[in-house]
Amino acid sequence: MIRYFLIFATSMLLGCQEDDLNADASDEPRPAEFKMLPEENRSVILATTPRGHTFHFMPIYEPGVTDITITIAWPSNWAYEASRNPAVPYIGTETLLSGGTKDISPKELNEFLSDRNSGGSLIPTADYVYGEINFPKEYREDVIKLASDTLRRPKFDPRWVHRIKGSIRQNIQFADLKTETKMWTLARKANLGDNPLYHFLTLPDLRVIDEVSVDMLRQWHKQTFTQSGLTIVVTGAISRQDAGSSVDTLLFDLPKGRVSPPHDVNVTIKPQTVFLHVPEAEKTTIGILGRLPPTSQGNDLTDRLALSHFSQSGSGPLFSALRTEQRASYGFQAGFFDYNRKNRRLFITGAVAAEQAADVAADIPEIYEEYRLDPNFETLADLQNGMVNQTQKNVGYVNIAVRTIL
Amino acid sequence: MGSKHLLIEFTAEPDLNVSLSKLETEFTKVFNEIVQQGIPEKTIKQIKKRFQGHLNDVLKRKNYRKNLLIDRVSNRQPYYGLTAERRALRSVTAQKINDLLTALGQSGRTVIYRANEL
Repeated sequence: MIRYFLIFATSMLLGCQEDDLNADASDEPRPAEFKMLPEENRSVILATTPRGHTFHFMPIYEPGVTDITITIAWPSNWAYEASRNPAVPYIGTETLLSGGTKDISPKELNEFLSDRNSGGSLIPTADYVYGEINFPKEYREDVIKLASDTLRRPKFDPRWVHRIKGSIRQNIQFADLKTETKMWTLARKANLGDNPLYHFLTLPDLRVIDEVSVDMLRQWHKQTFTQSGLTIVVTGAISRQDAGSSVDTLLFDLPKGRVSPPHDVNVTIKPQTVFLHVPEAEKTTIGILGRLPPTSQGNDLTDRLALSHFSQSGSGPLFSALRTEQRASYGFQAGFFDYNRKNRRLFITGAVAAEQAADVAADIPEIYEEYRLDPNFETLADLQNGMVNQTQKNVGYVNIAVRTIL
Repeated sequence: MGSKHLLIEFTAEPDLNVSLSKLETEFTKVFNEIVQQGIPEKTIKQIKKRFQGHLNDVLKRKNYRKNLLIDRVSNRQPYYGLTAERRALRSVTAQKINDLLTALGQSGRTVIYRANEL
């Protein structure tokens, strides 16, 4: 018999150790004029554009760095309103990105960006829509102007919308075939209940995709892309002055909008084990979830380090316990995800042979609890150094640096 | 496919209110035109420039090349260094591409597969 196991445990206290890993006080704003000050390189500065938008700015003045990335997070509460179609933000962001404007066709838009080695993305989440554009510095003005037009006057061509709907529907159908997708969907439902947030994150009923109209997309566009409540980050080979004027051009003429208070869907999860029988599955997948404090409370680096150490292949407690006790030849992984800003989860997951599933599922919480109460941090320093090195390498890529700041 | 043959795939989905056969007719028409007339030199230059930018971005990354090397070696395939990749790209001419296209246009070289929506 093949099944899915899901175990929910309450408040796993990873984030409780005190440290100052995340103490990175922002520098004081500096004079507005552009100077190539070496000490400004890679320091995060809180700056203001000529039109008064505050933004986080990290210039990178280094040989070989020619790219610029701008990211803007627009607050959105679409996911929390039962009266709204939950598929709209997915279809809207895709159409906005590739559908062109009144002046430029989708094909021309794609060619324009490809010829300039540039690109962008718009990612809808429960609380924000994250927009990002990357471009080499020599194309800054062209790309910013195009991005600004696209943001302000997207063309929601019904034929293009139809294509986007088709590809989203296909992606979901494909993902739903996977056994682990079925498991996480069930976990989400058990955690969140049958509420609008669950529907937004899951799109359990594909008919909502067909029901999306151009009017809905326009309404979503109008109320999402405003000038209020934004978090803006600019990094790369750019002066503060150019960064400020680029942000102003991007946001110019968008509605003022108003900031709605953040949604407080604080889900209390009860410890529970859920089984899902999937007769056609070949293996049994186990998923264990625990609640973590939101990243806004800090200590997320501690969580990351503690969990990486726990699940590290080779020497980590999870790995060695499962190898020794279960003689398992499979791998388990651990990590984090967010349902929304307030609800962060830790997960431990892996697939096992059906006959071992019950034992492994019972063992993992014990291994975790042992680790939580009496961790052995002999190899922690190595892991820590490894993470620092990797981070240093990663922030060399302008767009990863911008995500880190955001 | 092996070291002597190339498989090129095109896929297309009809838009709203467009039939599969209409799409196929239109696609075949354009495909035949391109095969007969060749791709203009200007377009090829444009595409080469994009590839150049891509190579500059990606291939310079140390880990990318390391992983690529491991992948190629473990699959017993030859590995070309960054300079060789750039040289190869420079040596691509419109003539070479259009010769390949002419070969594609000969009879018996294309297979069309139709699939209805899931």
